[in-house]
Amino acid sequence: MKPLLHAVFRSYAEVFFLQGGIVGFLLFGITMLNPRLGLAGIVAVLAAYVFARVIGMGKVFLESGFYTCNPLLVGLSVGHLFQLNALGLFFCVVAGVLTLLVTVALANVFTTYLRLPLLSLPFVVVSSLVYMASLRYGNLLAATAHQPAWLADDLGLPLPVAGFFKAFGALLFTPSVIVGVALAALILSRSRILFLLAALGYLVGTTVRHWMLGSATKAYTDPLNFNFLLIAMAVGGVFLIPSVRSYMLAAIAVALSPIVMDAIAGFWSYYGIPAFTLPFATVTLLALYVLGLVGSPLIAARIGLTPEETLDTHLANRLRYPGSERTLLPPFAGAWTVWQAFDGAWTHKGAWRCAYDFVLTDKEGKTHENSGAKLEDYFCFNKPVLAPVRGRIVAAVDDFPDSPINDPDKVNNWGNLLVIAEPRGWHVELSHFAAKSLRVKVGDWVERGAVLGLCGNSGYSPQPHIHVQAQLTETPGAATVPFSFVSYSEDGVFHANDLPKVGGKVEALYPNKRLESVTNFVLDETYRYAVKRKGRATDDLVLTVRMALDGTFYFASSAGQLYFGRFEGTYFAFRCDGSDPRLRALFLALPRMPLACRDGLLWHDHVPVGLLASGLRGALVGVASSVWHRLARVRVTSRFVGEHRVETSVKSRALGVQQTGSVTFDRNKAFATVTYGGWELTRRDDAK
Amino acid sequence: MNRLSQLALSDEGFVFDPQTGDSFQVSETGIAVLRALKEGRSDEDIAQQLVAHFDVALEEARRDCTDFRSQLKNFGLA
Amino acid sequence: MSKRPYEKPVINKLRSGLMNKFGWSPAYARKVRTAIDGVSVDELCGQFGSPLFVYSERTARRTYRQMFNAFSTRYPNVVFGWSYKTNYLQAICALMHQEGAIAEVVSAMEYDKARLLGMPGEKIIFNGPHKPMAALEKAVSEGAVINVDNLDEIVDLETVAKKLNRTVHVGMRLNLDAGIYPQWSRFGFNLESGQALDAAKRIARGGRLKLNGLHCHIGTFIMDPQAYAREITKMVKFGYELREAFGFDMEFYDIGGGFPSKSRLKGVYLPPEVAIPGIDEFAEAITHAFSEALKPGDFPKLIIESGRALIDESGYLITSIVAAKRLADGTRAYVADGGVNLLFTAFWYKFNVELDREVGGINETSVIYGPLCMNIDAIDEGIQLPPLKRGTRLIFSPVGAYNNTQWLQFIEYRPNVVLVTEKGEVEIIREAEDITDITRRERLPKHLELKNGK
Repeated sequence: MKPLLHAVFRSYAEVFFLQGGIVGFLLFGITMLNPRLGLAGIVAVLAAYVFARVIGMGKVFLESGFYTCNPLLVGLSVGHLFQLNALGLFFCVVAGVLTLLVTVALANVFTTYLRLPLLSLPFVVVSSLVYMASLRYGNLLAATAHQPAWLADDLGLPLPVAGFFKAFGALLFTPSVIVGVALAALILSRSRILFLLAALGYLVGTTVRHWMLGSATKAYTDPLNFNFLLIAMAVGGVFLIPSVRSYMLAAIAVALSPIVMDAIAGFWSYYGIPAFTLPFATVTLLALYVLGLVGSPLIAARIGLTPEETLDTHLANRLRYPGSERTLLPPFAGAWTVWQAFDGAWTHKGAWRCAYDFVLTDKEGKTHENSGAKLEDYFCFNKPVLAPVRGRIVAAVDDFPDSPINDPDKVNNWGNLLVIAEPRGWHVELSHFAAKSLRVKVGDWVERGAVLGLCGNSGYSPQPHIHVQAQLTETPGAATVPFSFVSYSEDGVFHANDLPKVGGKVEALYPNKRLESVTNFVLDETYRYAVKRKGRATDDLVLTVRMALDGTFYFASSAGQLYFGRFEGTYFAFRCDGSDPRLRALFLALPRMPLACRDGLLWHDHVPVGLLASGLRGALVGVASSVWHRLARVRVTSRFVGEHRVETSVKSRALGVQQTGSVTFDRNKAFATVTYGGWELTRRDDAK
Repeated sequence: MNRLSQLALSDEGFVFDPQTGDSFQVSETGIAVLRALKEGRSDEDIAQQLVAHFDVALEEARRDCTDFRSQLKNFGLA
Repeated sequence: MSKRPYEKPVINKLRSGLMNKFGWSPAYARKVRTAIDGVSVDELCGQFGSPLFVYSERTARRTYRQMFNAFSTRYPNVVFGWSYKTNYLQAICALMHQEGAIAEVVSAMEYDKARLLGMPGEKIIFNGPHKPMAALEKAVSEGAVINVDNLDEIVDLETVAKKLNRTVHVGMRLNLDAGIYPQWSRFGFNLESGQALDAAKRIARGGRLKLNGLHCHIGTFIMDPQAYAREITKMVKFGYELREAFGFDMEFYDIGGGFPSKSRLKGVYLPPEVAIPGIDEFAEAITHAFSEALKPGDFPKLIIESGRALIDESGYLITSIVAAKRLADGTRAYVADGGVNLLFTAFWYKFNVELDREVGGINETSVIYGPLCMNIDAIDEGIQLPPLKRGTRLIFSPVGAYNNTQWLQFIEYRPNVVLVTEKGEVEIIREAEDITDITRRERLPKHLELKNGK
């Protein structure tokens, strides 16, 4: 029953780019203010849903309301046009089913070939068909599309404002100021950005049309104005990252649309068909397609429940996950200093810009003792070089001598070298090994951390150092490609996946067996926590480990999901869905953790602002962030205190938040205790 | 005393005992004391002489003289 | 007439044929030290008396970093455990902990000392054959790393585990043949005879303990790096056997210590600079053998419990000559105000002796006695020294290891111990004793109280 209700009511919310059953239910209620309309709508949705289940579509696909949104719109348009006797209802059912078929078929084409959202195109197609066909069905036509008289009251508002709210109402086929106010209020409460965009769209659109038509009344009362709202909302905040640029694009798109709108309206009127949302679909899809072709960074990779959430996730992910997918471990033991990084001043240039050089330095920063005239004076000479990746050795050169200090070998640049073929499809090259020091040969398979040879000074090397680069082919000296280092500490701060700076003291951190086993969560395991809020006991929290469709694991509680994972030596809490404050507390107490345990190790993270924002301030910050992306950042700093405890502090000046949390663990799986804000979770072990 | 008179002293600090054929190495002050002993001077005299020529306190000079004579005794030279 | 500089009169017999390598050239044998870390010996003794133990913070820190770097740049997961029995002066332990070492203790007393200093239980390795029940319970509840020495201890630990209602993770002490002599066999379980495997079996069967590490300490003052290589290879092989048989995953391999310092062993002919391999050789041998023996991707913690090698060369003992004599056989003898009561290791080490001033004159074979009224109290039985006068200071080094733990409260008050800090300031780290230290714990039965001397 629940999936049915979800599918039905969420369809209503989808019309406004919102999600959520409650919102949808309220919208359904609004449609029922005009009973004929409302009934037609719900009948079409139900028909489409039942048909989909009959042909075997999975419940989970339908639950989001995506596939039943267009049938809803078609149902509303049928109810708007026709009277609702038995025949009319039959028409609703047929139209609903037809729309579902068109939706599913078009969705496949659009996602696979065009990578575009479907918007309300199926609705446009089927409604147009319905209207064209209806010309022949005299039985069905209602006298006029009428709505209850009380709904038509303009409430004495000035024309533009009344027109704005009527446009809102028109989205549900109810161009009424009262309905529009209710809708606008609903949308404002869910997303300030959507509301403001709707207003922006209306303003720009009607102004342009006024200018072009020369008549204010016509401009403000045109029933097709709702297209401006839709374009602005879609382009400004739903499919693009809300930002000043996306708002400008939205305004431009809206400004373009009157031409399209009037042309379509003019053309379609020959056949007696209203333009519906075709102008919106045309302009928006055109804009999104072109932006996709040019690879615009504005396109949202992940669309959230609201534009605020889309923005928040985008900003947070950009901060949380620097680095790349070509991940290396620093190829040495102990703390070495970065001598040259990408685009280094000496030799890391042009095709070979993506490389790193490492040396050992003493406290004063010197790379050698005594005078530095002999190779042995250099601290890193003859120190082991460890494998930064796992893979197969495909090239090995061992017989060049170590060049004298400051007298590099200009002929054989790379000196003694190794090239490792990384199974993910690229290669790693390490250079300047000491003469005859390689411990592996071509064909050997090495794991991360294996001793490959000793650091030397062969090739073009003024003093002993380790040179490491990533490249696409196995030829020594091939052009380099960007990469990043994982699981290392730079000057005492842990980095999960990043690039250290020149002069930084870098040490590779290998995962600790105990932490690995503590975070080794297995599907269907459950953990029970005793919960206290501000000192008072409340219901237990039961977490079950599940896997999402894309393979990400998550903790499912009764009211939310916390997505987590382990990547390259770090445990991450990716995202928190739902509305469970205890999962939120768990996320904020430990957004990430290195699996290498070192007392005193410090690390930073950022979390989405939405986790902490609340109330008016939160809403304002959400909107303001779209204009100024750096406004609100929630900075999280954590550190190991001893070997069994992590303490975290969460700060955001813009939101006025300053909180601390902690996590402790023992030898059993999952965290032993979690505290954050006033929440205290303690794992119950008695059941075991 | 007789034995002492037999010893051949050099200014470089070497002493040769013709009776046993042994050679010895002696410090500069030792040569001075040996010479004085060969002349038959008393311990006190020798101590004073040391104080006169070297940077040393009288008490220490006295003790060292006594000690030197016991060293000589050890080697059978006095 | 200006006076010439004075040397004591000395006569030495010239030997024909074999020349005494160490005796003749004054410059060669005569070592002078006027200051320790820039603070003059005179100033030190003037302020803190004589005899005086002096530690150099700079040397200690530098030695630690050299040793730690030698290992940490060759293997990515290294921890040093500071061996408390080598020197448990608070300041020295604290210095080592500041540099990053955890604590290695072998008794309840040392455990208490580490805790008092502020080390949390999880940073203490508790070794040793004598772990009383109360100490075990405390160690387990505070999360210390306990290396089991014998079967009775396993029983005790199981009792503690039952009482505290939890599984306790422990390490196991092994003894094995590393190809050196003597092979210590009194600590831990023997590997080659299968005793260790039996002990692991017993642990697995008991169900309350889990084995997560192996510990071994093959000897002291070991001069062959390959001995450690053999030790660790055997340990790792055994570790994987344990995983196969019982599912015990080794999280650490503690190879103990026993690295030599630059002390000179009595009986070793060559000077230490030539005879003793540098720490890099040890690190190379150990880490090479370790990584060869480990399975790919496995990086358990490598724990090194060093003591002597870390602190010995940072410690000096300044003594003063209080009397000079000539023995019946003509040997020159000096009585110093510090002897085997302060330098217990003098029984097996020949220290470096430095004078606090240039002394002219020819060397004589001399003996240095301590202040005790005991015949065995000789620090050096035969050393070439020029004639020294009373008050000359003799500086013995390296004395940092074991002397401040094995010294005797015997006959003499134990003196000040000071630390020359990195900034060049001198701080007392252990005050000289007075009569209260000697009598504080004594209790006189009433009937033995003397009334007016009767």
